[in-house]
Amino acid sequence: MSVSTLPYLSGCNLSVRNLSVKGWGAQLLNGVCFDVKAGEIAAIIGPNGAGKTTLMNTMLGDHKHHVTGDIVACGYNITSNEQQPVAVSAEKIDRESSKSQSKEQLKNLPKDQARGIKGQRARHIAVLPQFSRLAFPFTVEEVVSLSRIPHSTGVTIDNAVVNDALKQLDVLHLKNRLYTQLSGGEKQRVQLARVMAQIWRSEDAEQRLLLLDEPTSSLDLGHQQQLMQAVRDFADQGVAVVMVVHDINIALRHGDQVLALLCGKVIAQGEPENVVTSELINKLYNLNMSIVRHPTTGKLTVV
Amino acid sequence: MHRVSPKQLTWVLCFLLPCVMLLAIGLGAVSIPLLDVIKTLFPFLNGMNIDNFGMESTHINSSIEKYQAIIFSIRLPRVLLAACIGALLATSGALMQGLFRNPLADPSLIGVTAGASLGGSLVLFFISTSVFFSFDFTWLNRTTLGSAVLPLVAIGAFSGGLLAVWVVYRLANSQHGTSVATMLLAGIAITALATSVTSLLEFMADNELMRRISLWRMGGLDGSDSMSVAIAALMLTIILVVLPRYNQALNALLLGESEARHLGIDLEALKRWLIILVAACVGIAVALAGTITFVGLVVPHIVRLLIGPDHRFLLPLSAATGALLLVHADLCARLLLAPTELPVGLVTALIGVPFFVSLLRRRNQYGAANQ
Repeated sequence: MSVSTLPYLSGCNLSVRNLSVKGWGAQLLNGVCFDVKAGEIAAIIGPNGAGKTTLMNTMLGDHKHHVTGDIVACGYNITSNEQQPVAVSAEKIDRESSKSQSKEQLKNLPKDQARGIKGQRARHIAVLPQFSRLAFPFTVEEVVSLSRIPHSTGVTIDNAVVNDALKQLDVLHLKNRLYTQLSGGEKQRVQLARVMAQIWRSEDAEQRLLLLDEPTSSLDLGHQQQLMQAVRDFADQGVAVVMVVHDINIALRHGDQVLALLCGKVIAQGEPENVVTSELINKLYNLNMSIVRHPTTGKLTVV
Repeated sequence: MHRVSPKQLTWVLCFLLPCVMLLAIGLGAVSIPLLDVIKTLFPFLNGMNIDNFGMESTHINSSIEKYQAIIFSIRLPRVLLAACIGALLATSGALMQGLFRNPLADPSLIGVTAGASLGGSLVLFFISTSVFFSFDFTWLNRTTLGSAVLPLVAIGAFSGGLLAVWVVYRLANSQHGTSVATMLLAGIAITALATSVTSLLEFMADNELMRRISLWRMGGLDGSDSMSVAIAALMLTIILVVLPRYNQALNALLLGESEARHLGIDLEALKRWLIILVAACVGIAVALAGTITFVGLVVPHIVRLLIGPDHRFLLPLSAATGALLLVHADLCARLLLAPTELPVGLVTALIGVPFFVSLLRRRNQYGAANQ
């Protein structure tokens, strides 16, 4: 099937179609399909080795393996490393057509064309890695400022964005501390502030996608809640969020969509209310757990 | 640790560097008063000074003529070369630490200097033994190389250094960061290889050539002339002009390779250019002044302690501090056991080794250090 005939849903910041990945003689992912709309949080759950990290890495374009299928994120085809003309906005189609026009017009295009496709993509897609190994004594503010490298919005706007992001993640008071001296949880929040600041303004990029790899792994309960609230607020501004989580309760409480992976296959997919059942938990983790409604929030909870 | 603002450090260096350079020109086997140094270097100041100090013009002129030879043919080239080499080494150290994302990377510790030295020796060996040149050794002056050979040796040193950085980088770097142990072990391996190949060359060479090679490898700043100063200054200018393009990319790289990629940095191109630049810096420095250790380790570290790791300020200020340090070290090397001169590499090693050991003790802070 050619790319242009694939049924991309309009308004989706991320569309994964029939994605299969082969590596080390094994099928790491098999026929994965899903869409994430702007403002939606998709949670990927599954046991260790189910292919969550492979899926994440493939969505980022870090693929060392044999990949088939298509991923279109914010108008960029990740699997072919090209700008995808199907889902792009009118402005970009204008740019496409201008290629055939005179060179004079090309010169008038904004400077960011020179950054190349990966540089432009960085304005749309930000990633929070599981571990960050920054061993150099940047201050917290400097770390978050690095997120503005893909943009050329000027110092005033950049500083405002950095400040807002620090405030949102409750690390503004650490602004002048050295990153290397922070606790694990503080580092995690600073890193999240960094990746959020990268795609903070809707003026910089219309479609935005935030990928989080176990964002709450080193946080205490209070900060887990606060961080997920920040992610939710961020999503509400029109950002599509995909997160890999180990804690099913976080997926249930904060996900709009749950994707359950087992051995590289999606075995369940949809709203958490409909998807997460005790049978699913049993299938995924070989555990007998019951699922009840939370007495105050009314959301499902695994106990 | 409390940071100094980059601007403050720039002002301090702008003041210190010329002062120390003037001092270094003045001090030596023949001491020249500071005022005479200034007058010799800037002859247009003479008119004013004569009136101001009420001295006879003949006296001033004769003293200046006396010093002119010393200053222009010996001291000035030497001090300028020391400044350029110090700046090149410090910059290459800062670049290398950015590339390896590890503050322990130093050209002389991870074998790049040895690789460059081997490359230079090979070139020296082959052009000396080839029929075309072998009839005459007079073009090699005692301590330095003839101007015809120097560029060739520099290219050889660059190639050797390039190969060494590339090998060490491939060995030590993984997606989880740089392994300090592998990095240093690779340095040991390359240094051992370079030493053994050079010994092999010495077996094959005749006495005269052997002496040339070993003298060149020992290096030092005493062989400075206008040619070597010009080459070093040219390289330094190129580096300082090219580097600002990579500042932000280097900053992003400190976050980690995949993080830098997600910030839209073209990582492969960045790494390729960094490796070439580092090899060029080290190659030129080795070709002109032999092996000078630890400048690339100590200087960026001190600057980073003072102003933080932001490469926009770290690189130029490291260059200036490196120049300051090496001019100083050379001055010490000339004065400590005067009239005998110590090799300047010995002085920098005396400063650098305790520093390196103290860094090794704290290696746990450097992320992937224990892998």
